[in-house]
Amino acid sequence: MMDDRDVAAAVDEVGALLRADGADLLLLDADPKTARIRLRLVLEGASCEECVLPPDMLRDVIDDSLRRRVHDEFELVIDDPRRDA
Amino acid sequence: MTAGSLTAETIELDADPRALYELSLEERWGDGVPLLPPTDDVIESLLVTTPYPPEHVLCALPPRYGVATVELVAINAAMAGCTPAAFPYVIAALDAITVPEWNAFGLTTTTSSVFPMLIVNGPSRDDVGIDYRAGCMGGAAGRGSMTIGRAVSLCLRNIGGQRAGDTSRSVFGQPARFGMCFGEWEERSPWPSLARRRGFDETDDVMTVHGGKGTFPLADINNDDPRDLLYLLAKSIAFPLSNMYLGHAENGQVVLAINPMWAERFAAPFPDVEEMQAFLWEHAWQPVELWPAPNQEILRKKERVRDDGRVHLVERPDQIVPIVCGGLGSLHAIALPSFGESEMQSVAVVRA
Amino acid sequence: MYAYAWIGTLESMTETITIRRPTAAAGEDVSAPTFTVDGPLEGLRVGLRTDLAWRSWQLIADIWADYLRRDGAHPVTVETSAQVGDTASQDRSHIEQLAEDVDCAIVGLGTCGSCTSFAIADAVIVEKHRKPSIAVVAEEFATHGHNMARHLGHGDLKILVLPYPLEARPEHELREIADTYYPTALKLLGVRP
Repeated sequence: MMDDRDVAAAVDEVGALLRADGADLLLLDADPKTARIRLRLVLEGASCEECVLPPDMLRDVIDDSLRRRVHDEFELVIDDPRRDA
Repeated sequence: MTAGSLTAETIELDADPRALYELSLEERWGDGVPLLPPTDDVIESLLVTTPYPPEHVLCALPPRYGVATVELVAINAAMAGCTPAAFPYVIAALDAITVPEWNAFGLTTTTSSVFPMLIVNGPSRDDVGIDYRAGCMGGAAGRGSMTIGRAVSLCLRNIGGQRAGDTSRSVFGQPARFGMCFGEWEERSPWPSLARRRGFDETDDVMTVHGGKGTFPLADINNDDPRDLLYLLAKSIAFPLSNMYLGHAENGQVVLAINPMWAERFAAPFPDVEEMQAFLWEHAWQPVELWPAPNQEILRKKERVRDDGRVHLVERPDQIVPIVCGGLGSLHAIALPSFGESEMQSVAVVRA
Repeated sequence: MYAYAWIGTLESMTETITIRRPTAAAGEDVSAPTFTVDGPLEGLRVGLRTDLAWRSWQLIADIWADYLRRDGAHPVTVETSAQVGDTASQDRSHIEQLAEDVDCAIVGLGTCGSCTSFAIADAVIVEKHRKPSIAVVAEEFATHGHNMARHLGHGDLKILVLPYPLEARPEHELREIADTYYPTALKLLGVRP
């Protein structure tokens, strides 16, 4: 079952990329019982929103980072304000 | 507990694991797959997990009505590789199987492929190694799932005397005869769990035994509307050569295993599982004209044809039993069609 | 070598281990008494148990009922249809009542696994009432029928074996089978002229 530390490491890896543009990635919840991982993209500090990875590409990057560390199935839910806009 | 409390005949054999395997084939104890040696220390480690002494008679197992003492069940569970934590689930399964309404007398001897399919609920699923996520009906290889199911199968064989081609007249058998035990993914279900719906508390570990004929795969990539998909599921489980059309409509259940992603979709129009069951029942029928004329006559004689010409699969919505399990890949459901003349049984797992 | 979660007493692979036999002891081969009519057919109440599932047997039983009436006996027919549920409970009650009411019974049909088991079980109910009883089983399930009778403690229960399969035979063949096996059924019941 998925380990919090693996998820946190993946979030931190992608977060580091985003922080270069002033954005960030927050881990809201990683529940091994439901296999759901909830993340939030934070754009408030971003100098340029268009510079941050587009939503689909961001999802792929996060997914890839997680799958290198988490070997069980999971459902990835990303709160991306650009999708809600 | 000391070895002196065990009474089953002892057999000395070569410590080479292949010796036990060869003996099991020769004596017909096994299922064709290597077994683990049921040594006294292993048996005793299982026995301490139940409140029963080794000589306690759990049941008489059909078809030969072999007397199933807790000791004998532990010996078979040891051969299957059960951990001590898993052993009470084996006991619970045998308790459920020998409830008269499960009809072990008929199901252990029938030409049908039916075999006990074990469904587990409760907070201890992960501790015991019950599979309820991806590959839960085959492939996930959880220790609890594989060994509990196999232990029950070995008990039916070695204590009950159920052997294909002999006391069991099963024409084909099915893969579940090796043992089938899986769980419900309760945390991903939008509805109360199977155990809760059957009257148990969420803190209970529960073993439910269903007389299932096999796994019937259902797939969809097309339907956006969850009601359309449920309609098609209902029509699919009401296939014309279902056992449920052979006997009485009021007997038996059909289990419908729904993957977590579909469960979420279905919960939107049906937050209440009984309403979803009613919807499924409403569509789980075929027109009597589907069958050739001689079959139509038989269905009429058996009072299976309603005034509107519909032949419903079952008499009541609660006979269609949804459970949530399986992986996150969506796209699929599995029906576990019923033998018909057998009522699903649920028993709480009892530990020492 | 297999891995264990607990320490076993497994000795060196060049030595031996001691295990326990996993099988239940075979039951004693005790058979309850069986009975015969040992007299003429005339005036006897003869139970005929059919099952909703098997139309072939319903036809044969109807023909035998006519023959029984012709020969001065009184057929009493009971139809069963379920293995579980309220209907099954009623079925077993009807068989118990039949066993009370008749002088002997012909119980069929065993032509599948579970229906053979239940046909044997119902024939045993009649025999437990100390009445002559024969079970009718199709050939493919004859061994199974004898096994079930033995497991139920009535290993000497008489079983009439009919050809298999019966379902899907044309009517004229079923009529021939009815004619051919009627005398055998009476003989097994112990009917004497």
